[in-house]
Amino acid sequence: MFTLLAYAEMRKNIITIKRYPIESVLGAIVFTLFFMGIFFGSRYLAGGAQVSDQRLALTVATYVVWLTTTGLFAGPGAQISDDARTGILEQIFLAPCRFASFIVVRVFSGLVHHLVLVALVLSIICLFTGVRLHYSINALIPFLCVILASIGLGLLVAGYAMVVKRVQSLLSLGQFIMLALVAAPLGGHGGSFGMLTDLVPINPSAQMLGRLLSQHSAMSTTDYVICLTNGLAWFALGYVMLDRAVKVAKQRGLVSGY
Amino acid sequence: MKCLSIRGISKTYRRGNGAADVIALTGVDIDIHCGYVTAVLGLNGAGKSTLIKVICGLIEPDSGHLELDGHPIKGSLTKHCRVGAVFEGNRNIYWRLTARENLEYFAAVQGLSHSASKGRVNELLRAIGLDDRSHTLAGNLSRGMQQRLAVAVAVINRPEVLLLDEPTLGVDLENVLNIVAYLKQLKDDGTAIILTSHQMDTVEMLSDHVAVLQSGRIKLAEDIKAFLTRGSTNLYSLSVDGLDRSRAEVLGALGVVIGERALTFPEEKLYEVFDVLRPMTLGTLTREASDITSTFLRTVRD
Repeated sequence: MFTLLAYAEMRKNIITIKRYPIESVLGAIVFTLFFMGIFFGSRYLAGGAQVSDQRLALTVATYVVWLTTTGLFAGPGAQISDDARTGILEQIFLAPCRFASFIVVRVFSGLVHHLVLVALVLSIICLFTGVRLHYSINALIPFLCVILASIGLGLLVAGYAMVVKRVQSLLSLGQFIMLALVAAPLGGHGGSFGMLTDLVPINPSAQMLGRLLSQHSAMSTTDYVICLTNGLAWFALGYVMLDRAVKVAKQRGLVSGY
Repeated sequence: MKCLSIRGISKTYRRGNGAADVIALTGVDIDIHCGYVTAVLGLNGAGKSTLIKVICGLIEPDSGHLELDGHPIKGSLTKHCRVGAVFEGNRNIYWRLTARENLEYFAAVQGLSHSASKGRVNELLRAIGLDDRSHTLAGNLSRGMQQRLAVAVAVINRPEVLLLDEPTLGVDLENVLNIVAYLKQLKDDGTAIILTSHQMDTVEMLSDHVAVLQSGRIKLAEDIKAFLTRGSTNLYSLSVDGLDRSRAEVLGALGVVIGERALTFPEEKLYEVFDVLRPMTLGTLTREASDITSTFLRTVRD
C-alpha cells in the first residue's frame, strides 16, 4: 500500500516537474540568487577585510541546511492547504490508510526532488564562491536527523493546517524561525541549559552538520545520540500531533472546506 | 439485502466564542441497500452534506454508529469496505494532471496495484466517454467532463458504498444523462449508492429510496414509488368558459382556485363543483400530475 502511494506521489512529482520545468527550478534559482546577493553584498561591505575559508564554508553549509529544512517545514502544511482548496483532501481521506501515514509517505516521496534542488543550489553556490565543503560519511546521521526533525515540524504545521487550513502567513514566518533554529549557536553549554538546548528542534543536528561540512571535526557518540534523539523525537511528536489534529478536525467538521 | 445502516447519528457543530451551536443531525436512522440508490433530500442546511461526510468518516458524529450487514463498525467505514465519494462544490481532481494520470494516481491512493489499475483506468475512461480525452489536462476539460472524471475517480476502487453529494451540479443535460447512465450501471452491479441533490430530475431518474431530511432529522424514508404516490394530492383541473360572478363566489368559498380558463380543486370537491356549475357546458376534466419536486416541497412544508 505505502509502496504504491510512494510510487504514485513520486510519479506525480516527476510529471509536474517535466510539465512545468521553469516553475520547478524557479525556487532553486531564487534561492541561489538570494545567497549570491548576501555573499557579494557582505563582501562589498567588508571592503578589503579577509573572510576565512572556514567561516565562509560554515555560512554556505548553514544556508544549505536552512534551505533543506525550510522546504520540509513548509511542504506538508502547504499541500494540505492546497488539497483542501481543490477538494482533493476529501478523496485522500477515503484512502484505506491513516491520514498521518499518508502525509509522511508523501513527504518522503517528495524528498528526492527537494534534495536534488538543494544539491543544485549548493553546487552553483560552491562554483561561484569557490567554497569546498567537507563531505564525509559522518555527516550522514546529523543530516538525516535534520531531515527528520524538519519533517516533524512540517507535520506539526500540517496538523495546524488540518484545523485552520489557511497557513500561508505561518509558512512565511516559518522561514525565519527555521533560520534561527538552524543558525543559532545554542549548543556547547553544560548542565540543564545544555540539555534544554539539545531539545530545540533541528538545532543540535544542524550545528553539528554545519561543523562537519565546514571543517574536519569529529563527532562523539554523545553527539550522535543527541542528534538521533532530537530528530526522532520531533518526528514522532509531529506525527502524533498531526494524528491528533485530524481527530479534532473530524470532531469539528473541519476536514473538508477551505 | 440490507447493506449499510445508519443508526442514531447526531452531530452538533460547536462554534464557541458565544456563537450558537449548530445542530446538523439528530438521531438519523437510514437503511442503505446494496444495488439501490437512496436519495437523501432536504433544503439547504438540512444536514445532507454532514450526513454524507459522517458516513465516509470525514466528520465524527457525537453519537450513533454505522452498521454493515447488521454488525456495528468501529472507526471509519473506509476501514471496513471500499468507499467512493463525489463531494459537493469541488471536482476533487488534480488540474495539472491529465484525466488518465488522475485516475492512475487515485487508483494508487486506493491501493490498486499497477497492473490492476491499468485495466481499471482504461475501462473507466471508456465508461465515462473520456477515452479520446485521456491525455488532456483535467483543468482543460469542460465542466461536464471534469464532473464525469470526478465520478470516475470516486469509483476507481469499485466501491461497495458510493456517496454522491450533488454529482451533477452545473453539468449540462447531456452529461447528466451520461452520468446517470453510468451510475445506473454501478447500481445494477450491486453498489449501494447514497445520493444528495437539489436536481430532482436526477433524483427521480436514479433513486429507488428516498429519505427526506429536515433540520437534521429524518422526516420520511420510503420507496420512491410510495413517495411519488404520497405526492399525489388528487388535484383536478376543469376547463370552463363564461363563469359568472355568483358561481365564482360560491366556488371560491369551496376553496376552488379559479384560473383564467380553468378551475383547480381537490378530488373531494368534485361533485360539489359539478353541482355549482350545472347546467353549464363543461370542458375537459384532467387529473393534475404530481412530480417529485412538488412532492418534496409539500413534504418539507407540511
